[in-house]
Amino acid sequence: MAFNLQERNTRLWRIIGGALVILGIALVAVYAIEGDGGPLHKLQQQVHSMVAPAQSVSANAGAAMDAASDAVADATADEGTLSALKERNEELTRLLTQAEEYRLEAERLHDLLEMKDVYKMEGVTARVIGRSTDAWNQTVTIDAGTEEGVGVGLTVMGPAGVIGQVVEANPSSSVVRLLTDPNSGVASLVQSSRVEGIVRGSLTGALHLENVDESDQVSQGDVILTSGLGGSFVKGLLIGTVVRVEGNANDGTRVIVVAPNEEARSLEEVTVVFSASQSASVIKRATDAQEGDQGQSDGGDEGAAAPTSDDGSQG
Amino acid sequence: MANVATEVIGAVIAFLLQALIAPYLAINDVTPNICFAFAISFIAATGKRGACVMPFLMGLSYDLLGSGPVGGYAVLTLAACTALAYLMDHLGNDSWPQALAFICAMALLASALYALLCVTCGWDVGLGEALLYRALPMWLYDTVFAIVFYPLVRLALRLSAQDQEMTSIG
Repeated sequence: MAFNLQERNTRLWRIIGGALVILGIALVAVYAIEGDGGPLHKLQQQVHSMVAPAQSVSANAGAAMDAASDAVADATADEGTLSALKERNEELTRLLTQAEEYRLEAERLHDLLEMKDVYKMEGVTARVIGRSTDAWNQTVTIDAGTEEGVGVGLTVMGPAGVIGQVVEANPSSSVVRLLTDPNSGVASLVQSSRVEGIVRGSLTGALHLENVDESDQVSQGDVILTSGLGGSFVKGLLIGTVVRVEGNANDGTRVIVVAPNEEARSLEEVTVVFSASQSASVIKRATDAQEGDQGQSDGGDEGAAAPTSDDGSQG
Repeated sequence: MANVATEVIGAVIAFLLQALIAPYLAINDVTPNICFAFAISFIAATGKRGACVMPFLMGLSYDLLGSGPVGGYAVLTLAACTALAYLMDHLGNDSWPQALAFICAMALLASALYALLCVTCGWDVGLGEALLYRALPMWLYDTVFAIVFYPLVRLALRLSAQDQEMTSIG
């Protein structure tokens, strides 16, 4: 009797397991076939929307945990042999750290504002509140959504240039696919020679300039801008700088590596671009501004600074 | 009953860790799949055949939290856990090294098959690149988490079983 019951249970679990496998395969098939507006994509979007506020809290929780550990350390010091002077010193250090944090934040926001001015951009500034939960996608969640006018397909910029595109827009948050994502591709052009191509992300985190004609010359230091072709990205925005050209163009082995503007990890504030000016002077000013920033930040690190051509051929 | 409580509580904790903590544990853009790590370590600890709902749901949670194909990790987690349970049932001698070896093998299989799935679903990367830069590091990361979870799950199961025993005696 007991054996029969066990056998029946095993059979039942096999049926359930089989049904779940079929369900899973069906879900994958539907997901692959349906478009971005399909029910499974929407369900995924809903989950992202629900998780976004919690992710925002968890991002702040990291800072709170640091503060708590500091407080614990201070409390322990009070009970020990530390003098009042040392306490005062720690207090001042904490205040200084806080002030430095505010200063850095103000600096980043100032950079974004400057970028908006340079490009005469219309857009909304947002904070990065979450990052991709899986290893296969390079995305960030920002705290601006459809309520702020953000929509799918809009270009997103960091302090130094384009960082990605909105792929999901929820009422109060959005998901941005970064340029470094392997599924990301942006029509682009080399500023000095006007050579066109497509900048794609890769699993290594580097950007590659592809679809460039064999006869076209691209060299280290060339500045890459969005070309606006296809309409998915606003034209004339800075993507990055060519840092390496490997292989040979003639035998099809040429790989053009472009340094991305921002590391996903360092992104804290971004601007979602509604519209931007596309004039040549604006592009020139933007690259000059980036050159200045990079010069200040890395002291002319090899391959990082973009030597803007000064022959007036920026188009 | 003790198993079910551990299963449910562990699954909820794993889900929360995946949603809130995993993005901040990324090494070279590779984040761990904590949902998978918990599911596989739970099955290894219990050797439970037929436990297919929890692994499926954990995989589905991962799929829904991420931006990959929905259902992909659900099927793979279920398949890995079923295979693991089968191995534990037929070859297992209840030793830790063997359980960890099985966990390691199943995690490798799952991450490699997921790489294949992503490439099949139209990802613009080669299979070799996907295996080298994502599947392999992810396998290592998931295995580390599973190895951490495995003794914790065993401990939780033992404690809850003792608790239940004491209650029934009392």
